[in-house]
Amino acid sequence: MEWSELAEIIEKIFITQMGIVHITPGVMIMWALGLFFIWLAVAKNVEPLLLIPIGFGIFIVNFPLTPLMGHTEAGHPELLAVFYEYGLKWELLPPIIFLGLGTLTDFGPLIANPKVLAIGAGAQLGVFITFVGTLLFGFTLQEAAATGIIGGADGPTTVYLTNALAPHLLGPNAIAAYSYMALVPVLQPPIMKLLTTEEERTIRMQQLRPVSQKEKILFPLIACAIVCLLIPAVAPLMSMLMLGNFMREAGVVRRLVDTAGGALMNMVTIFLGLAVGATMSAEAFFSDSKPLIVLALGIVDFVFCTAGGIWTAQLINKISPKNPLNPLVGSAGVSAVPMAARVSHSEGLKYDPQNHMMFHAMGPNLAGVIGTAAAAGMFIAMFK
Amino acid sequence: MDEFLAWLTKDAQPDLDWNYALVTLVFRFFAVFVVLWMIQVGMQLSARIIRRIEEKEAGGGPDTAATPAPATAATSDDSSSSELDAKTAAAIGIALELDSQPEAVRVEDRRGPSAWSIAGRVNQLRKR
Repeated sequence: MEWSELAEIIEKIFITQMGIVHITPGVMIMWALGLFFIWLAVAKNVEPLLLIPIGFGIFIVNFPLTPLMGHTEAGHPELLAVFYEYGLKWELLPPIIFLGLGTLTDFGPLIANPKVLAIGAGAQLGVFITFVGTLLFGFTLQEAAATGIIGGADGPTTVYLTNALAPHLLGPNAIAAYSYMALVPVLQPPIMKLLTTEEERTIRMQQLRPVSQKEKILFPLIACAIVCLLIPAVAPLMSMLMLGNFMREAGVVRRLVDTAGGALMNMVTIFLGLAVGATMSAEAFFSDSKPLIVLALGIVDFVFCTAGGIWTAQLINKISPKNPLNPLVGSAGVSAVPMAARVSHSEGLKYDPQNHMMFHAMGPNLAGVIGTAAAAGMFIAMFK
Repeated sequence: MDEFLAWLTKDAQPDLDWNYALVTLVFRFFAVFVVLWMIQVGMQLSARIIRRIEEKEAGGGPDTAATPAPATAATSDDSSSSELDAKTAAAIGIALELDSQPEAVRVEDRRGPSAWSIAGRVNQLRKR
């Protein structure tokens, strides 16, 4: 064997079998992004359940030549591609997450004070404003709808809608949604302070009435029927959410509730996080400017959603001044459950240490989940 | 104005129908309110129906219907005074709430009587 042949073999090994020569600046930026998410989760305890799988997904998928997101010669999807294709493309994982969420959710505060449902609708303001904003940046209608939903601060809904309308934006949209959800305690308080008066912030809300078990059992059936009749497109999400909640309230399938809200949800969270992270390859991320626009507009979206919730609470007080709402609970209309409600509660305590609003804020918070799902369903009905 | 609009939309998709996009958007935004309002109506109707059924079952007022389990327990344990029964039921209910969900109790309106005051009042009534 001559030296030239040996060199050729070695070169071939380097180029076709080793990733080290394929490292690009883009790949290194994505590694840094993945490691940043992992650091946020581990060191700062920010959404660790989601950011660890997402961050690790971004990290590993950006190693060149790794058989993770492609297809084998026989045409079978590789490991992360399996999670992506059968979990996300088949729209399986977000509804299962909703099933688990349903089993963990007590809709009592919402049933006790149903007028706060309007806050859940008002808090979708940013979704629609961002929709217009993204159109101005050259997004298609589908891309604009998928990006707009970020402000709803509902991860599974964002993933579900983006996958349905603009799957190429799945990574940036999911990252933006989960990042801004994690930043709720930082982003919301200044907006809440800016849009409310001192007097409004100290309003004490009437104690919520007790909700009977029968009402709690009936609620998922009624809400599911109404939403599925009016917006069939969102039935996969809403029906699973309400099934989970019905199982919880019925109280006769403890084992199923424990599984759906525990082991199953944990497993699905891992697969969802990895699949979302795996879509963030350097080639996809840097192929155009849209992912960066998504990240920039996501924050605008979020601000308007928070403002929309507060303005709706103030409007409700104007329309029906009896038993006024503290407008601070309006910010909980974005559906980051229960973080947004916690922020309303803690901000309320700053102005009146005896004014505990956690339960009151949970109502708009849960209404926000339904509102975001409704908005997503309408976008799917419009543009799919 | 036209120039401003042209500048604003210079990056937008050239074949985008802005009239369609904006009209349908406003319509859908208000449609979210309609959907949630219908859920609200459904919830209020069902709450009313359930309350009536529970009132009929209990054969009493709305107070007993709101907390069916303690009311039943109270009537079976002590039939001397219906006023005392309701308060005992309230005290038991709040004590159970304190025991099972301490977080939840923190959000109660502190201007009202606490669980301990209710329990104290019940004891006073019993002594009389």
